[in-house]
Parts: sequence; C-alpha cells; structure tokens
Amino acid sequence: MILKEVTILNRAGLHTRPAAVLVKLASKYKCDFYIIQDEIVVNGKSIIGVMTLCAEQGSKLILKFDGEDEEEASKEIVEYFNRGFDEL
Amino acid sequence: MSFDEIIKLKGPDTKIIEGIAAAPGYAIGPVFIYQKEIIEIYPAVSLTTDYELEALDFALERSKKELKKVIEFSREKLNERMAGIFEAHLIILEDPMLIESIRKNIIEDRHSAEYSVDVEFKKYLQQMRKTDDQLMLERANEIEDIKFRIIRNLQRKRWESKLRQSVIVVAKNLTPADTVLFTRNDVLAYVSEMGGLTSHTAILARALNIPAVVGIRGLINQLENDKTIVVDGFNGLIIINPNEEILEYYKNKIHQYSLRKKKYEELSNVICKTKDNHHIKLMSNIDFLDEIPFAIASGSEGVGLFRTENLFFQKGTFPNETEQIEAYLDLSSKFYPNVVTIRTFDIGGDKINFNEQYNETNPFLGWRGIRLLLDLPEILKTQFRAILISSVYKNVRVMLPMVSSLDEVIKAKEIFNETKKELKANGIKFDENIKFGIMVEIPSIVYCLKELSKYIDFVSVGTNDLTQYLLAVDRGNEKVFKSYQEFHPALIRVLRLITKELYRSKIEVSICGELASNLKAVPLLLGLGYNVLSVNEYLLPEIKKLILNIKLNDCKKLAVKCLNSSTQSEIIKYLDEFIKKYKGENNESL
Repeated sequence: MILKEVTILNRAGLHTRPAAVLVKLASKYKCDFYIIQDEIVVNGKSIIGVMTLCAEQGSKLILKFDGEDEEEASKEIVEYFNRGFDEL
Repeated sequence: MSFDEIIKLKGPDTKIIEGIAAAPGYAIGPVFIYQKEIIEIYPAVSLTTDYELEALDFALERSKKELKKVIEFSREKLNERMAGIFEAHLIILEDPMLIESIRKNIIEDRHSAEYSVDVEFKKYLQQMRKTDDQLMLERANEIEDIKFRIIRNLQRKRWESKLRQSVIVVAKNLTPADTVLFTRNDVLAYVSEMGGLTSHTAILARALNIPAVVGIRGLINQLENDKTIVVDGFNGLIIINPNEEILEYYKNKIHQYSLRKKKYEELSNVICKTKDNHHIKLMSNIDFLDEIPFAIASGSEGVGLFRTENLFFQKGTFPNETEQIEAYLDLSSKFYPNVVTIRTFDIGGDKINFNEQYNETNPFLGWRGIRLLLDLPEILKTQFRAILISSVYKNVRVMLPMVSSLDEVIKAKEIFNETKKELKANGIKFDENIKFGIMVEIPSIVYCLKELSKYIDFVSVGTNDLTQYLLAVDRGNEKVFKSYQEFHPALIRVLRLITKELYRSKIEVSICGELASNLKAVPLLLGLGYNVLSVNEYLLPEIKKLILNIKLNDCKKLAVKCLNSSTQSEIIKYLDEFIKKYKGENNESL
C-alpha cells in the first residue's frame, strides 16, 4: 500500500474536468485507489464520488493506492496533482 | 451607462428586474419559456428484476448517445475544454460504483429502475448539498440533470430542443446541455431563475457569445411567451414591457456594441502569442465601470489595474463599504474567470476634504498613496473588507499604491490579515488565497524587491510615476517637460533590474503604466522580460496585432541594444527601426 499527500495547486480546484481526467487515469490501473479528505474517503475510480469532494486550491488530500501496480499508478496520479491538473 | 439612466427612460408599465450578469451583450426579442417536464418517479416496486435491469441498460445507453451528441456539438461550436465538461457527465454514466449500487438496489431491494436511480443519486446529492459553497451546489444541479436524463430515458420520453424563431430562452434552470443544444437555433439570450456566475451555463453562454442573465427568482410568473423583453447582459437586467424610449436606448446600444465588436472580433479570440510562441498576457486598465464591456470585447485577459480612487472622485469622499462591494463585485463578476486587480485608493492629501485646508508644498513627495492609507487605517480596513468580500469568485487580487519601503508593506499586510481574521470570525466568505501585490513606482522599492518577495505575490510596474521619481521631473510642469524622457536609459535599466530581481522568486510581474500602451515600447518591454501588459482597452487589439507579428527572440536583442544605449534618442532610434521592420508602411501612423 502506498500513501501520498498532495496539495491542490490550480485556482479552480478539483472541479469537473480534472475529476474526469483523474478517474480516467485511475481506471487504467488494477490497484484500488482512494482519495481521503479529512474524514471523507471516496473511491478514486468513481467520478461521482470524486465530485462530492470539496477540494479547493490549497486543500491537502491523501491518496491511497493498494494493489499490484500501485507503484506506477501513484507515480502518474501524483504527477497529475503536482502539475495542478495542467491548469497552471 | 448607469442604472439610473435607464430608470429615467422607463414608462409606467415598464418593469426592470435585476439579476446576475452572466454573459455580456444585449438582446431585444420575444420570450420563449422553456419548461422542462416535471419528472415523476413511479412507485418503488419493480415488475421483474430482469425487466428493470434491461430497462436500466437501455436508458444508460440512450443517455450516453444523447451526451455524445452534445459533446460533438460543443467541440464544433466551442472548444475541447468545454467539451470536457460533458465528457465528465458521460463518465458518470459509466461510473462503476454508481451503476453497481443502482443494480444492487434493483436486485436486492426489488425496486424499479427509476426508483433505484433516484435513490442512489440522492445519496451523493445530499452529501453535496450539505455545503453552502456555490460551486458545489452548481455541481449538484448538474449531477441531478444526469439523473433526470436517465429517468427520462427510462420513461422513454424524448427531449425537444428545436425552436421556431429567434427567441430569448427563459427557464427555471438551464443545464449546460440545454444551453449547448439550444444554440443549434437562433438564441438571442439566455435567462434563468437559478444559477450563478460560476455555473457551467454561464461559462458556456460566455463562450458561445450569447448574452445571459441568471439568478432571478420568480421571473417566469411575470413573463408571457412571445412578448418582447430586453436582456442587458452587461448590467444583469431584464426589462419587461419596455417602452419606446427604452427600446430606442437599447437599439442604439446594440448598434454601438456591434460596431466596436466587429473591430475587435477578428482578434479577440486569438491567443496573444509572439511568432516564436511565447504567450503574452494582455490585461486592461479600468478607470470607470462602464469601460468593462469594451475591455471584455477587446479580448482583455483580465484587469491589471482598477483605479479605485475614481470612486472617491465621483463621490467627492470615500465610498462606504456597500458602495465599494457593489463596484468590485461588478468588476469581478463581469471579468470572471479572468483576474481583476483592485488597487487601493491612490490619492494625495490635497484631495481629501478636511475641515481645514490642507496644503502641501510638495504633494508628489507628500502624503499620498499607501502612506495616507496607513495613517487612516479605518479607511484602509473598510477597503480591504470590501475587496475581500468581493473576492468570492476567487478572481480578485489586491494591490497597494506608492510603496516606498518594506515597513509599509508589512504594516498594510498586518491590517489585511487582521481584516481576514475578523471576516472569518464572523463567518463571512472570501477567497483565502487572495493574492496580495504592490505597485512598483518609487525607485527605492526596486532595491528592496528581494526581501519583499516574502510578503507579496505579484508586482505591477507603474511607469509614469517611476519615470517621474527616477528623473525628478514633474511631467505636468511645462517648463521641465522636456526632461521627462519616457525612454531615458536609466528607466530602461531599472525596468530590467525589476524583472531580474524577481526572476527567481516566481512573483508575477506586470506593467500597467502608459509605456505598456505605447506601441513603440511594447517590443522593448517584452525583451526586458515583461510578459503581462495591462493596457488601455482601445489600444489592446493594435498591441495584440503587433505581438502576433514579432519574435520574442528579436525583442530580447532589441532590449540588449537599448540597455547599452546612453541616450534616449539612441533608444528611440532602435525602437523605430524595430517597428518599421515589422509594420512596414504603416509606420507613419505611429
């Protein structure tokens, strides 16, 4: 299992478009992927779940990867967060 | 144009209703009230589990097909980014967790498909509607729209989006999909009872260049199909029963706006890039709120400088908090999602009406700008409060004028943070990440930029005052006017020093002085490292045209030559040569 903390960098936060991209990225991998914000845990492969998060610019989230290809998945997804969802 | 002006024109039956100006433009035309069928969820019991599961699959497939059509259409009419909004909706229809839970509901609880869809969506919707965050609520509405889409398809109903004539579409709530699909017809404007500025509908209407006013509760009950109304997408107004005078007024507005727009149109949607592909951001300087529509039409990417002192001059004294909020919200909402930079009052002591006459021997070196505001902390605080309260759309920045030392910035920032804390304690919402910046217009501050970078997020260079203070010349004084050299070698070197000092600190540097609006100076400024220019709206298209035709690399070479020049005339010679080369015969007009 891999845990990573990420910060939302773009101005608009984790809105509809990045949520869609995120879910698409996660769906490529076999491992489980969860996003944790405070006490809320959502399945990162469920877009409707991700959309219930209120992740604004500056919010910190914890990403949890668990499964055989967790290494690759965490690398690609953390990078997407660090690029500010390509909106910087 | 002001609200008062319109009120004066109105007839006895005319009714003016204020909403939120969501997309700029004007329209006069017949009303088309778009009422969605109310979708009723039929009883919970299922026929047979197999039947319900099959119906679900059918409805999901059909909904996907519909959405794909919307995506295709928005790719064609809009862009990839906007289409992305609908792509997300499509992915929701394929969400494995969601679909699984709906199926489970059908199988285990023996509910009908409609009922199961409704129940499972509601779980998410309830979670989302717990907050008072506008964005989240809008998002919930969109998700609800997807729910209705599936249920409508379960009930095997079709959606109508064909209109008979050019109309103003009025609805309780317009979903993004409605907005895009209606555009296949000739829509003059969109009006909705619900929705805010940040809703996707508003964003789409702006992208489609269709005026829109949203957020007028109870409007539909006051309207009749086919009756003419006026939509003012700049001021967020709906005018019912417009009389001749009002119609005349708006026909004139529409005419003026279309003339100006035509001139601006060809370039307004072109991204401002140099020939060698470097993006240069062109923003506008705004003095009065009625310049906003033209600045937007010119293709401005935000406001680099809003001079709040004009509110002071118009009123003759400091505007109160409410008046300020009204002005700042007007600005920030109309430019949304682009950034607007609000500069705190830049006034000199001689302009304040105190009981006793206040005279300074040297007003330009006297009590003005941030010095004055720090001595009147109540006024500064009120202004900070108004700016913060207006920052709800997260596109507002605050900027201090006439900063000469680090202490001033620290002191002002303390007051700013204190104001934030108080607002927070009172539960008033604002953008917690609001950017804080300063004007660089007094030479001393150029030499403190490194230390300052800890306290600020951006700087904007005011070249007029910077030149005046650097050269110790009052440019309003005819006798010494010759000595005011806007291309003095020292100024060019200082301008370079600023970008050099800030190069590593990730602090955005823009330039908002007159120099940025001078066509001749633009290549030099680019070469000196300025990639954000805030200019006068009417010059913006010209400046953009120039930038599209030059290379940053050549600008850099030009800047090196100018930095090595020892007189203004030498610099001007280089600048003229450069412009000549790129503009050919058009040179005379400069």
